[in-house]
Amino acid sequence: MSTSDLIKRAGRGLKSAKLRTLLTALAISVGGFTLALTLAASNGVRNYTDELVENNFDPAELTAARDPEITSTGGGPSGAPQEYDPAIGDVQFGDGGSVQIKQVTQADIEILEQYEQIEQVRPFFTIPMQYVTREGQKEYTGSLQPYSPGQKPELVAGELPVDNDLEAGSIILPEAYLELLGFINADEAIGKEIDISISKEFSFDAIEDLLSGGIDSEDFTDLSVDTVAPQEKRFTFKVSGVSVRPATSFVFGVLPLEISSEDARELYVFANEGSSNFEKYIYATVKVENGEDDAVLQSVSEQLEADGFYVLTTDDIQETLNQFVDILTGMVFALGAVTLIASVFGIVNTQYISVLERTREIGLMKALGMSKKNISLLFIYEAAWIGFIGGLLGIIGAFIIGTILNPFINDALNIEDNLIVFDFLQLLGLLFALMLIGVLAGLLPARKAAKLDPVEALRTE
Amino acid sequence: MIEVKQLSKVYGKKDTAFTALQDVSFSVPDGSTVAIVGKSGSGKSTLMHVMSGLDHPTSGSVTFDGKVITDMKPKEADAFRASEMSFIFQAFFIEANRTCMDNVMLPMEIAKTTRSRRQQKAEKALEAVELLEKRDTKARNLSGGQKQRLAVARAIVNEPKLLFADEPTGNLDSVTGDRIVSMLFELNKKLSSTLIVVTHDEELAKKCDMRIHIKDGKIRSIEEPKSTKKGGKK
Ligand SMILES: Nc1ncnc2c1ncn2[C@@H]1O[C@H](COP(=O)(O)OP(=O)(O)O)[C@@H](O)[C@H]1O
Ligand SMILES: [Mg+2]
Repeated sequence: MSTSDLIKRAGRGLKSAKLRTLLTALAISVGGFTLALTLAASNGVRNYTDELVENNFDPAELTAARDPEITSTGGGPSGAPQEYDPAIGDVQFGDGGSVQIKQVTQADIEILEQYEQIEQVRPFFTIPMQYVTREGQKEYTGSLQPYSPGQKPELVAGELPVDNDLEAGSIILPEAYLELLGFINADEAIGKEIDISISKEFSFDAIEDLLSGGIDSEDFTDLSVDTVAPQEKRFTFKVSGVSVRPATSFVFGVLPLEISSEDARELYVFANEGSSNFEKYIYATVKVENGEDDAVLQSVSEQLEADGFYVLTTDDIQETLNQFVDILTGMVFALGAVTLIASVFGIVNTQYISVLERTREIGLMKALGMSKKNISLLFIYEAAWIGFIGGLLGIIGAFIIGTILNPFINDALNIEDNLIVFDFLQLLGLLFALMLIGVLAGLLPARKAAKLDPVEALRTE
Repeated sequence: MIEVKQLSKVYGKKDTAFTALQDVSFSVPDGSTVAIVGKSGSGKSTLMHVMSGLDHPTSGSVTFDGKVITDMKPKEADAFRASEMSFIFQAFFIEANRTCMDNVMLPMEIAKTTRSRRQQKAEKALEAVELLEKRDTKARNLSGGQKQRLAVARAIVNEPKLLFADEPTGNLDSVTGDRIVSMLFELNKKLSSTLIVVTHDEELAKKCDMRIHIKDGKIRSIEEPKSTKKGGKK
């Protein structure tokens, strides 16, 4: 019997038991549905994380640190307490636990700047901004950070320099402040001046200076308590752009105000000079020339590692995110697989019953000269049909549900691109896999059919 | 020419051993009609099964045109049955959920008949049993006589050299049964095939060229036409 005749006959065999076929197929369709939707969701989420990384990180940039914990993507600081190292400055977090982090020093920054392939080094620092205000307006809290050309903010008004840093003296203002600072709209804010207040901590170094060297100094008279006491100073900036939160943003809460690196540096020096942590950074961001090229980035990253830096690339971050997505996908996938296992038993059961019911038919086919192999194939193809029908139902169901859900998800998450993305080849592969599962489930009953004694079968009346 | 030589069939082993056939020998000339006659349980069906290679004899051989069926490997025997033989059973054994056409197609699919010729051959076979108008009817909706006619159509569609009919009228009333029987004999002449009918109906047996009477697995007597010199029990 030819393969096509067998497949057709197997299909017609199922047609004659429509309800049973459908019910068995439905069992496998549940697994198919889950798997198809999981695959599609994983595609969408992967696209989303790719975009997230693309929008928030510059692929030509590296993060360089002196402490492995900073660049580790393996899930937070190691649990074990570490030996205290007096050479490392204390970095205190929150309520004053002693976590030591080896910081990047000014000397390290200079090492980095000497690299030929490194275009720009931006040490990470925080500026203790107190508030932002405008003449005649109230004062509002916020955060301030240096502008990074690799992570351009999304603007509703104003313009950004194409490749370079912001112009000195200009500031990007988040949309949320517009009304608070008395602007009618975003366009009106452009070119207007706003004030940032920065506080300088009480400086022990300055006191030391004052008490030791300072006393003998000729310009002793210049020294006053004001030099050492906490200070507050207002800096004035001109709004050059109004930013909004992009759909794919890592920042939750209020967006930061952004100023040029140069200005940020000035503010940092003002706020931190004389403190014990001055010019010590947790990490530095390094922009590599032609760093979009993976090979270039890789070679720089290797050199940095040889120089004792710990390096984190955009790829590492993406990998970490993908790992996370993979774990979630894997879990849902496993769920789908479990329902598939259940449906395998369904198919085995149905096919066993079918073989028993069709004992005479099998006997007759054998009498007519159908070989054991073909009898077996007939039942295997039937099981494959069940897998195919179930798979198709599940996949079509997933497609319909996914298509319906997409706009709702987009609405809820405020994103533009679909989070459930169907890939034709993937679905085809899935369908094939489900047919294969059908075949596997059909093997045992098919074997039983092939082994059936035709004489016995023909004696049954 | 079919030669059956010293055929024995023992079911079971030792204590439960049951001899269904014992030392059965005869030969059947091509194109003849043969009746295997005997009471229920005498071993008629067993003989038919062993002759067709569906069952294996405990000893002895069956030769069909020089080919020893009883020595064939299962695959060979399958192919041989598909091309040379066919069967009709008391209980019809048609596929009830399929159409008449589909039922008649089965032996041709198994025998790998050229696709283009199948339709025409199937129609011819259905025509011969006067069921052509029922071609797309599901077999389960046929009457008993129609079902057996369908079985006949299926049996003759490949124009086999040898047709086995195991009590073909057993489940039918006498009028319907007679119609089937006359069809079988007609087709036997038309196709010049050999027809072996298993029956306990003496009326039917009388119409055959040759009658083999069996009792308790042994041949009691063989009646054959005078023209046939060969064969028979010596
Ligand atoms: N598998 C078997 N095991 C034991 N005995 C069997 C088996 N098959 C058939 N028989 C016995 O063999 C004898 C012949 O059976 P069968 O050929 O069907 O008789 P008939 O067709 O003449 O009615 C019967 O007595 C039957 O019980
Ligand atoms: Mg019988």
